[in-house]
Amino acid sequence: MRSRLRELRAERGWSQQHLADALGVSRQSVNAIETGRYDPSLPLAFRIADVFDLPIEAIFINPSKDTDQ
Amino acid sequence: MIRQPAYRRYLRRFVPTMIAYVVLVVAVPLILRHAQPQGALLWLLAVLPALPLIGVFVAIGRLLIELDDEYLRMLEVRKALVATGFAMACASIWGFAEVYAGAPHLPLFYVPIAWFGGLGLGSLVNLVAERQP
Repeated sequence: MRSRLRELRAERGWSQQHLADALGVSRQSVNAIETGRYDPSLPLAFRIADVFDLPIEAIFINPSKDTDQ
Repeated sequence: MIRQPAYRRYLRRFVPTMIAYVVLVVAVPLILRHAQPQGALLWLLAVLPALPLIGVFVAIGRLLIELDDEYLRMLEVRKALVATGFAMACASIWGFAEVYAGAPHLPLFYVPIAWFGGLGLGSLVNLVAERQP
C-alpha cells in the first residue's frame, strides 16, 4: 500500500528513527511502511495518523482507489 | 533490532539454554558410560539434553509473543515458517530414503537441528523478500 509517509516526515524534518521512536516501533518498520513493503495494522495506522494529526486517508492511499498501481 | 527489549530478553534466555545444551551433550554420554544406569534413571539421563532444546523453542515462542513491533514480528514468524518447512522437508526426504533406499538411520534430534538451520535459511528469505525495490 502506497503512502505519503516519507513526504509528510520530510515536511516536518523528522528522521525515520525519530518517527519510529514516536510510534514505539523500529526504524526498519518505518522504512518498510514508507516503501510500501509492509502494510501497518489498523492500531498502528491510527497511531501514525495521531502522530501526524491527520486522518488515515490523508496518509495512506486506498489501494482500491489507487490508479497508479 | 537489538534495541527491542524482546530481543534482549530472548538472548538472556537463549544463551544460558545453549550453554546447558552443550554441557549436557558432552556430560550425559560420559555419565552413561561410567555409571551405566538402568531403567528409569537411564531414560531420565538420556532425555536431559532434549530439555534445553525445548527451552530454545520456548524462548522463540516468547520472543514472538513479546515483540511489540509488528513488522519485526512478521519477519520472525516468516523465519520460523521457513525453518518448519525446511525441517519437515528434510525429515520427509530422509525418512523415505531410510525406508526405501537403505539410507543410514539418523536420530530424530536431527529434526530440531535442521529446524535451527532452517532459521538461517529464513533469514536469507527475509533478506531477499525485504530488499528495497
